[in-house]
Amino acid sequence: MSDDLILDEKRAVTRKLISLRYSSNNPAFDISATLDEHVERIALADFFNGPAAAWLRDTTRWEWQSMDHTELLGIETLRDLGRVCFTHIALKPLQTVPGITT
Amino acid sequence: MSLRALRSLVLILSLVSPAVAQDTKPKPFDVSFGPQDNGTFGAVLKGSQYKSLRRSPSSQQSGQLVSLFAGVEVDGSWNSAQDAHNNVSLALRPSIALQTITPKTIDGQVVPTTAGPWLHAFVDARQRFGDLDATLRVNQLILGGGLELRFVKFAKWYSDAADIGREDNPPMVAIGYYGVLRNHGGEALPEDIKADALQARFSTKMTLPVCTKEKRTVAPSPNDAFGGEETVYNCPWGFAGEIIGTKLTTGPDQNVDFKVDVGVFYDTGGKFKPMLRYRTGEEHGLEYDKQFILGLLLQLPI
Repeated sequence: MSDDLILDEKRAVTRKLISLRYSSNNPAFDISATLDEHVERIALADFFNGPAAAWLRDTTRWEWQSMDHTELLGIETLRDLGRVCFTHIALKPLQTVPGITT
Repeated sequence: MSLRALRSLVLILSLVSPAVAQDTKPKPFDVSFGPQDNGTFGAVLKGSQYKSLRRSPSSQQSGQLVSLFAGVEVDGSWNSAQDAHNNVSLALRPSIALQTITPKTIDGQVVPTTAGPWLHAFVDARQRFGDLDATLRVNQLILGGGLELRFVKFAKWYSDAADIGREDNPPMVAIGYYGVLRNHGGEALPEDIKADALQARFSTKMTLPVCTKEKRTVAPSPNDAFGGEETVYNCPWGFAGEIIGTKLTTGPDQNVDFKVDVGVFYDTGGKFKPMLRYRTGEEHGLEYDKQFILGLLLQLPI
């Protein structure tokens, strides 16, 4: 699979992950007020690190790398959130098949 | 610096162009200051800073997701008048939050969704200092706890109904009980300063639907998950309000006291936001001078 296709798939997975919390499709949708309190940032980070990460791991070939709530400081739009989440998503490591060596 | 010079400085600062360099990270502490209607100068300091206590949250796909965290809060006001009731409080708050994880079927797949935390429970250990008059000063340790209900569905509804291109903070109701553990003011302190109290607070911060829209295209970047097309909303007017009702559960004063702090602000996009702020009332025995400030809201780089 080409790198461009993998990148497009990663972007699509990131948008899907964000849609679990925010339903708008407008990248400029302002979410700053939903992340300006400690309780909101901590809760969203826990959601991404918990249920969303489990969904990603169990239903896609991608996995979530843990996020700290302080990374959500200063986020103003869905596009900003997308950039942060994009860096926390990676392809799962390739699984080796027992008994087969290369 | 004379009061006239201060007023000139405030006027000059209010003309600062919104195109000044923005620091987009919200600051945990902010101060508003300016001339007051009684000819004196006033300032209000308010804010908080928190840390998560949990490294690995539950991976549950439905039900209530629990978050554990703790933080510090500060709230103070100052007035240049000689008989002013200046005061400040510092609080430590271990907390727990709940958010509902709702499974939904989207594009034929069941996915976990959330609308954000709807409940926030906390313990509050607070040290407060205040001037009752020119000779009497309060120094107390107060312990309490409470529940905060956040109307997350209203915030989503308002976002769609008002077409403001954003989701605001949900309005919330907080109910708490506070008991005074220690007093350092001697027997001269009034009974309502030393009494235990039941407190309810309603607070909201809303974007007013006075907006302009602009469609534009953003240049692509490697880490960008979205396409280039977007619609930008500009809604600079906002309203913030807080009403606190306090009923003492011990002592002779059985009235319910209210403290009101409301304001309308205009977000220029810079560090200074012109605002009209009104603050008055009484909370747990401490009286707040009536402050009607037309000035600037400045977020501190703390």
